[in-house]
Amino acid sequence: MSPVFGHGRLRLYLLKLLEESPRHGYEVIRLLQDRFLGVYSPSPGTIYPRLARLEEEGLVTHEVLKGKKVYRLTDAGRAELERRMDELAELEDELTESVRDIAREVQEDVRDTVRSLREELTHAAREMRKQGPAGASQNLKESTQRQKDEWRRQKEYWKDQKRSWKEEWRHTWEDAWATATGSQDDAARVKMDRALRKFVEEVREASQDGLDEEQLTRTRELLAETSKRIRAEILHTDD
Amino acid sequence: MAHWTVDEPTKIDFDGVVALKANIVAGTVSVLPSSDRPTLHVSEISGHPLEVTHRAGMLSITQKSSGVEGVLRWLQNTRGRTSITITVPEDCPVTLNLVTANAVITGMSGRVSVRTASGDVTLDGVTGSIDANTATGAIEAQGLAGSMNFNSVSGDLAVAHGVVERLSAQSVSGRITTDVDLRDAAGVQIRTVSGEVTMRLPKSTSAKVALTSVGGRIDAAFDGLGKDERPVGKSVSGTLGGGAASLNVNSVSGAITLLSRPDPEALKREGAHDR
Repeated sequence: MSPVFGHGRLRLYLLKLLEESPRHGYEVIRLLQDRFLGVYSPSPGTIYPRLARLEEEGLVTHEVLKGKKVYRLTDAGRAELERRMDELAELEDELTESVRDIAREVQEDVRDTVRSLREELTHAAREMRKQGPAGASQNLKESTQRQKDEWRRQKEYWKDQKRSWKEEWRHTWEDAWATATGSQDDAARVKMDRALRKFVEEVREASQDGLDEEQLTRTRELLAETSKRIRAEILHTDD
Repeated sequence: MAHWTVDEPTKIDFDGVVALKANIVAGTVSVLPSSDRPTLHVSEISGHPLEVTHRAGMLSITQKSSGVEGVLRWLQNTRGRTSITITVPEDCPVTLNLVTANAVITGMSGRVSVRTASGDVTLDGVTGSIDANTATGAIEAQGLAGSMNFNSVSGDLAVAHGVVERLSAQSVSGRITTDVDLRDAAGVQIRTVSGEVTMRLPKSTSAKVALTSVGGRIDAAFDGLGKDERPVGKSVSGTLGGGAASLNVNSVSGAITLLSRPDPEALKREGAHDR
């Protein structure tokens, strides 16, 4: 967890977020994640008790809307925030300046995670081999002619693969050094990509609770028709 | 169109960025998501100045050089280092072309593409589709979700805590280590020559699994998997649960180890409860 919040600063920041607008707990968590560039991801177990404490102190109050608690700042809360305005400005400054540190922290954090994951898995693998569960296979010692052929086949595959990587690298270089800027075409493609992604997300979310066979068939038909029309009527690529 | 030539540490902010592209030789490039104004922080720069262009929402940052000749000159003098941090909207697609520079990317949900020869790639909480290529650099990631394509010659690949929809990883000698959950209908395809492959999956994973190696050892901790007698090499395969996802691992001489871990279900339920 990032050390950005010490000395009651999370509390101050919560007040600030609620001053902007009444929000429910989950929204607060999401905004914190946003503000801290995904590095500080407070858990509900961190945020909800704090909101409850602020409520006990009379700085915030809540009402239940659609089954969710929506928190808002009270006058006392506003006064508290007013009093600590300098501290808040300081905090905001630090947050901006810490962008670079955040990147470094991310790097260290991921490195640590990966290192401990490797250790953990190495240990687990050793344990598993000791116990020798079903399905664990032992080294085969025999080497047949066919095995040699397989080696040769694999070698060929990787030779090809390396060649294609090399080729790709050359393209990358040409890309990297020849084109300094993106064209209009790139921008349009990016927007297209985004629209498609949004579409997939929306439909996936809507179908989360399960689909029956008929719904699936109708969806398929509609998708096929849509794709066909886009290609034929808009992109003119259908033949 | 706005254009800057940067030769000293500075900070520039932009009206709106819909796509980011950076071509940097040595140093570090960090990309962070932010809902505030997109910003470029240049904290260290040496060698050629940076050419920064912002046109039609496309932000392009390039360390100027004249073609391949320039690259060669750069490679001979890798002491030149440029460290930049860019904050952009989280759904902004990112393309980084680097040589020895490291890349750190966190929290992005758009398409991310990184190429670096000897630099390391660090990914944290990236939920968009990722394409990362290195020659000798390591690719290390945590908290990924979605679709990933990793290629490395000798660099190690590691993915900790993630949810995979599609994962394709290839290495020649780099180790491949993953500890992820598979989505229903996820596809995982891993190939390596001599790199060790170590994967851990939740006990409840539902997937068709095929692990094959010509000369490497295969160990699997799932009861549903059995050893196949093959004329060539060896293979461990079978179906876990309903077999919704597919997992294929193929190595020439690298060892393949498939481990299981207790299900995250219990934890997940607790988490959902809190909301």
